[in-house]
Amino acid sequence: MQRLIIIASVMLLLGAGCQTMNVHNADAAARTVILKIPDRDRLTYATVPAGEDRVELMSGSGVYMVVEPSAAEKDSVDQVRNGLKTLIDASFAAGGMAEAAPIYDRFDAYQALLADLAKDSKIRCSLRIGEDEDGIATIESAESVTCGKRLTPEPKE
Amino acid sequence: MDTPSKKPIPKPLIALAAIVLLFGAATGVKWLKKRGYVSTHGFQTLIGRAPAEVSVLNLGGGRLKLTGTLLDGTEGEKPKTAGMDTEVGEQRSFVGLRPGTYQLKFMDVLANERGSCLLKVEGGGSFDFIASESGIIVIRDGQRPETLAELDIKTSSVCSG
Repeated sequence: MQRLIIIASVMLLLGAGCQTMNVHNADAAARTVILKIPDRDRLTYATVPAGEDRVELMSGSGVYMVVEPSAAEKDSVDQVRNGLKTLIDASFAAGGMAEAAPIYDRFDAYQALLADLAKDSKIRCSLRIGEDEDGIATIESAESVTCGKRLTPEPKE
Repeated sequence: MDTPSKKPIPKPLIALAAIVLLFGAATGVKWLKKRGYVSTHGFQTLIGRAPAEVSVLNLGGGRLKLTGTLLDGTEGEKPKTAGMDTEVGEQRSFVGLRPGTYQLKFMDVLANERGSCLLKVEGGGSFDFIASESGIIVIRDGQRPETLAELDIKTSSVCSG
């Protein structure tokens, strides 16, 4: 009972935060980004057109990471992905009894590759965002991503 | 020689100390959260209460629009729908899904339905949808299916509500 009360108190105090990560592409060409969400295995892999913004709404404070993969890194992602796509298409062609394990394993490999890139890529920004803060990452070029944060504006009545 | 007898600590004092301690810990947690050192999601994961997540990886077949409608919200609440567009080559997620039954619809740019899934979210967990020209599959985190039929959203038990 005591433990439950403590957990409930902490949860109440934690509340439900809400942050956004705004990725702005200041470069003249479309840029691909990998966005790592705090505490989650999920990653966003998206292309931001030149001069445009991509706003991802996410709940939770923590360390966000924005990565612009290098050409070689993008190639390796494409290779794993093309392999996955080929496997899926071949399985659909073979019918419902086709083995699922190869698809599952290839998808695992793809997720692991993105996670490695998010950790190890040289072109990245990593910032700790607290509650009431939004993250802003600006892609300057294929070689540079800068990042910062701003206070979340108060919601209008 | 007599040893001085120890007086028991009064219960109200223990209760007060416990309250002060709890208040201090809670303030500390709040401070850490404000600065991003701890998160609600991290804590929820710790106690196995993290909300579910849906991720879409678009591998082909053109831009994919996913709409999700929570069918069984609280009484009197209108069904809530949210949408997300994914270009070919992109992977995006819906995070923070509360328990309930969701009607997920996958559509192409002309609003033709490419697939649907009646997804029951009981607790946490993550669901990965992978779209290709030939079909859409679903992988539930922690489950290792044996056949394609268990992955295909048309036949998978994950999509049967």
